[in-house]
Amino acid sequence: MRTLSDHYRAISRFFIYWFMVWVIAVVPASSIADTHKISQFESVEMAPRQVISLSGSWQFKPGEVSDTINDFSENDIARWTSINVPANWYLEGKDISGVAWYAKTFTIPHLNEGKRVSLKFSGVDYIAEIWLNGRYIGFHEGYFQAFEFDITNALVFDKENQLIVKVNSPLEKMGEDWSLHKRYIKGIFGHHDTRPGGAWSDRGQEKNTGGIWAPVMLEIHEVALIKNVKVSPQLHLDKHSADANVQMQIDLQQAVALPATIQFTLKPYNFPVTQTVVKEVKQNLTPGFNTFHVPISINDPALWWPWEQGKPNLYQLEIKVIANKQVIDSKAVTFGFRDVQYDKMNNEWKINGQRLFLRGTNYIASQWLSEMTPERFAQDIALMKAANINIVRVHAHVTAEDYYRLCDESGLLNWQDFPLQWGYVDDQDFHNNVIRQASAMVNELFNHPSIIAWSLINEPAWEADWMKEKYHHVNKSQNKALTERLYKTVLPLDKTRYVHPFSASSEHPWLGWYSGHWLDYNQPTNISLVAEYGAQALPNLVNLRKIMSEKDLWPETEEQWGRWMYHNFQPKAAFNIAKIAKGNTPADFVKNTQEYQAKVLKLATESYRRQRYHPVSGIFQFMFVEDWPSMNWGVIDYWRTPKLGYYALQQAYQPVLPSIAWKQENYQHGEVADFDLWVINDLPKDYPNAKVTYSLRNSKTLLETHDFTLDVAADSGLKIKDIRFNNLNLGHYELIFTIADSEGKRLGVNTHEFDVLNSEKTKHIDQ
Amino acid sequence: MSFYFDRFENRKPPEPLAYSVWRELLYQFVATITLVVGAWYIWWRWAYSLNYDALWFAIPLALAETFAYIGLILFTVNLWKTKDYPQSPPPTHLSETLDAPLDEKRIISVDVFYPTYNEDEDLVRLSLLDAKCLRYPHPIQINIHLLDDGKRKAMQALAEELGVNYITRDNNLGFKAGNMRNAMEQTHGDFIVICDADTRIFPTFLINTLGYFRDPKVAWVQTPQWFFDLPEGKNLRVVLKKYFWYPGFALGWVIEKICGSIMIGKDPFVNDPQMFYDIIQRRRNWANASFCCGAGSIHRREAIMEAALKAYSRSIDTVIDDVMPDISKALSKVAKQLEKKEAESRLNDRLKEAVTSQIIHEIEMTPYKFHVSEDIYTSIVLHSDHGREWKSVLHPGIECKMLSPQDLQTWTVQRFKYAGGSLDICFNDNPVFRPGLNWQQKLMYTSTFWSYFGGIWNILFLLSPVIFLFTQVAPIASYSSEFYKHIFPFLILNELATMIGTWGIAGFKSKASYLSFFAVNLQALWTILRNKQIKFPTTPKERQEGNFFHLVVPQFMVIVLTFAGLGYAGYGYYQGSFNNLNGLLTNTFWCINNIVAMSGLVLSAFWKPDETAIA
Repeated sequence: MRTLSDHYRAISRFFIYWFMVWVIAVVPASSIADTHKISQFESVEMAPRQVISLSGSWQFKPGEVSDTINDFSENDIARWTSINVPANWYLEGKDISGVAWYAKTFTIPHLNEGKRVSLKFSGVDYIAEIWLNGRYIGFHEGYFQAFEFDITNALVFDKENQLIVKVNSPLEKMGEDWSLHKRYIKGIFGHHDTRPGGAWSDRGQEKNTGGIWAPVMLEIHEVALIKNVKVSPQLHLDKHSADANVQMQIDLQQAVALPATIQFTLKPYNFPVTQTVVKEVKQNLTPGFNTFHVPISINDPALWWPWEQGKPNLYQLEIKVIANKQVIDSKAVTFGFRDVQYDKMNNEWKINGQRLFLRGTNYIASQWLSEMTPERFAQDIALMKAANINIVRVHAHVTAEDYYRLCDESGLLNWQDFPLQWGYVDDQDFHNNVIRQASAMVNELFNHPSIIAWSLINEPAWEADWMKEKYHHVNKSQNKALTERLYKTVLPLDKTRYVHPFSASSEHPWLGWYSGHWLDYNQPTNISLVAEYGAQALPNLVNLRKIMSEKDLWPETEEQWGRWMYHNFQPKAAFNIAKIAKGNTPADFVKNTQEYQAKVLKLATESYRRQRYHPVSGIFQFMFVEDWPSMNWGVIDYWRTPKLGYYALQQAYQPVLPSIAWKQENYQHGEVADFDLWVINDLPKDYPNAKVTYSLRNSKTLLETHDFTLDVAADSGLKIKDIRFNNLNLGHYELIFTIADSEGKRLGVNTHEFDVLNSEKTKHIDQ
Repeated sequence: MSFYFDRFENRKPPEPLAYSVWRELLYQFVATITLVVGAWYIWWRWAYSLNYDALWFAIPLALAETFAYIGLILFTVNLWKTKDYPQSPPPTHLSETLDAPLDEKRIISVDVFYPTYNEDEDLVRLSLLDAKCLRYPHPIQINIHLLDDGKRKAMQALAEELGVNYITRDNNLGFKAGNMRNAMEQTHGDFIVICDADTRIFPTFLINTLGYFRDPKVAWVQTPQWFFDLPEGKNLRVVLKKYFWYPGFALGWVIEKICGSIMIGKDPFVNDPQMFYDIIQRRRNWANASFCCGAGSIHRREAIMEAALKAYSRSIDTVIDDVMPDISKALSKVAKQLEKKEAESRLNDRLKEAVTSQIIHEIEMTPYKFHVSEDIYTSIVLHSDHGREWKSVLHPGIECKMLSPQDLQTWTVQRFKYAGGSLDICFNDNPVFRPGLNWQQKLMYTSTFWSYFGGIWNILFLLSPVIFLFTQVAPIASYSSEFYKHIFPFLILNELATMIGTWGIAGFKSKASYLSFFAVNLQALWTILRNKQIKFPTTPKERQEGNFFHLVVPQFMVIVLTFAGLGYAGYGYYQGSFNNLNGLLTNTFWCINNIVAMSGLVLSAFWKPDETAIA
């Protein structure tokens, strides 16, 4: 007979057995969700804010598994797969869309009275809902904004906290004309012709960009929190002084007022400290938002300049809130003293009163922003500057914060698009959402001196006539009210920049690609801001092989072309409009496309530059890099290998450009070849007694060369000479045109190649 | 979403009327003569011209004329001179605005209040965005507060999005004033800017108004309200062309060449408040009697709070004084019955104490009086705060823009509130008969109250020609040269004086509007006399759709009766039964005047925004 103690023993054995099972099975799983413990908590007392990163491995479960988190037990979560945060889920091998759940545990030791804890997200694509320890914390919509919640009341101290984030990156609803009625503000991440699948197929929403793509952190702080610091520089150029008009808020998270001193320290950030301006303001902080407007004057400020006009001098403004003789919060922002004017009447951009011709490109760094490290951004910026680009149109999206910081530091200007392009639904909810997110964009990026313009919607449905060909039902007033409302919202938010209501289709002359002929770029234009132009080109063979399998490298069947089109190639435009020859081998094909892109860019760019300010104020080649393994408009492919077009652009964008204007591509035997020589100097510098040389070569022979000197004025563009060559023999010719300063240092070089042919092969510009 | 007023966004506000010392002197000269001639006329009316055969008619009309004449005296006093308050540069620190400077150099803190109840989110957004653009040359704290009595989620989200404070409460006590009081309790700024949900403040508002507060006695500064959405109307020639083609156009062109540009359909409700702010209010600056009108004003918190405290203790005293004798009486009765004298006094003391604390508990302190016309009420409280001598300033420059009533119903509700509110104060808490105000201020407030009785005599003026035409009973002895001799100089001089006094502002429109206002005016008077509450509907910011003819029935009846009277008398004259030609002609003149005056408002009932201009 079993005794009572046997029973006890059996029961306890049963428990021990299950405990062992638990230890073996569950504990290792839960340790995957690595737990953060703060060891040196004392340091919180020293700095007013302490940041604890929640980067690393999180638990992940895709799918609409539950409406509430109450259905998840710890065990469930432990069995989820792991994922790195921050990352777009696609880059983590999760090719999904829609809902996915993220979970993370962390521990935080007990905090002193009055401390608050914020949970900060730097970017979640696209909708996030957050729970902490089963308590609903909040909701956020929009892929690019940073957002935060006060979680103090939901935290448990000295114990594990369970953070759950439901991320939803939905697809636009499919169906006829699906992309004409989009509802998510994702710009080129939702729908674009450089996306996987391109813009005009049902596969255009593949490889979704969702996920917690930017860092998540906890921030421990005191009851007063500095927020929304906006510094508006106001230059008094005539008086050699400036004001930094600071607008900021202090959110006092307690019920009683607090007398405080707010200290502002203004000092150089990226150049030697010569002067420091300190300003103190005394005021009682009241519960809630306290908004301060504080003008800080500075004499002889070092101005922020674009790289070709000067140094990108940045200042740092450090704000400290001092109460009871202790610093209870501090925040530093960098900004630059610079002034932007766009004179529409005269088609002139002026930075700090200095006229500047915008030599731009369009840029989408990647479809999945988490792969863009600061180093990779820096590499792109270096490539842009090497190509003599002074402005970047961040095309129909907002990119990662690091990029803007690096541009500020490198003196590279930005034309910032809001992530809206083409058609969207026209309901009140969507419109309100647009207004909200556009305001957020302006407020978040406000202090970056490199951004000089906001452009609010790319080719809106109501103005884009070409949409007739793409969609079954187009409405001439679609999104028109939205466009107007958006403009009226953003305009008062920012007086320090130009606001472009929308980038019109007419500002995108796709000559030689979607319409017309590439030689049409030789005709005078009436567009002041040319926001897109260019042509596609294939990456080199090595990289093309990374995209296309060996059997698809020479596409012939419709199926094969389908795979090419999935990777953005547009055969119709390439063959029917651009009339690019496929050639006989893949290598030919690559060469032909690259040569075509190069000659289009060279002709268009130089032609626009010769029309500087009459009427052209700025141009933006399309596109700088390829944002995924694809074959589209980039002059640099996804692996950052330049195509021929990159070098053509680099040459055409030389700040001091000797430019050869020609009227026809080739000449008939016996025809007079005549050219105009132009000297364009975008730099704010005179070159007196500059040496100009032009020569003509035929194959290896230098046929003739001419020198003369010339005073080249700063910021000028002039036709300096009309040259003619008579009686040229049949053959291939190269006209070389250089300019050097009075010391002989080369400022710019340019070449133009042409053939003298038998009459049948001659091609006239007017064909 | 787009608004009807989007296309007016770029309108620029008019400059304040230019001051001319010569015009002012001329006005004072002509106005004085007018008043003398007017007195002579009134005297003549009473002494010589009464029709003793019809005293039932003659005396009321003579009384009406006398009251109107008193109104004219008050109006003249009001218009007497322009003396703007000197403007000072914006202060750097709070101490510069105080009697006794603080120990530390504290910066100024301003609260901007946007009370809202049911206004559209986008409308409020525009206002808040503009407030966020407020500028100041020195460090300053500007806290914007959205005071939402509608308790709406969307408003809370909007506040959060724009980084402004959201204040709501669990009741709607006191409506807008209650809403603001609630916000005052939760905020601490040194100055308070009062806006309506549709007030679009200009960036320069604080720069141009805070300087006045360098005078520590200045309690508030009111800026003119400017309706930037007033319909501009169409040129006469364009309107005539629509009906009569090119001949019409040509006719219109000729008329406009002669008379200057004539805009048909301009400001159909006569909303333009320039007459009120630029003339009436501005010319009260010298008497320190301009009153606050709500939106577009900035207040010194200390003044509002102090005046409120005083009013609070006063009302406690009043209630205690009212209640205590009764209690004492009742107590002594009880004590007598019990024959315990000693106990009575002890009980009495304790009870008094208890009652007092109960009363203190129950009476609420109301910085902004819970009153339909909380603004003028607060002004009176501050102006009559003896010992502090608070000053008010009407800053002549426009510093904000707002929306005008876009339909007759909204207009009527608003005017009814103004009239009822002012009359309520006049009857129930008249500052003129209390100590506190100086005589200039009393005159100015009397002028305001007096104008709200105008409906009584205006209805008589409107009806007397009709009565005459139907009955041939004249209110005066005869329409003789004696009559013309007395009335014409007065009328002409009065027109002249008004024209000079209000130079730069169209005169007839204001007058016509005042005359047609009689119905609303009388209704408000009737409501107050019956001791009924003037209701507080918030003025809708959206155009109300519909036919508003029912609102202008009284004015329409005046037109109908006048026409009928003219027809009847004309036919009588033709038949020979009506033989007072002078009387007929004189009254025909008045009839035409009255019909034209009434027609503006009657037509406005059918006014619709010009849709073609919107498209």
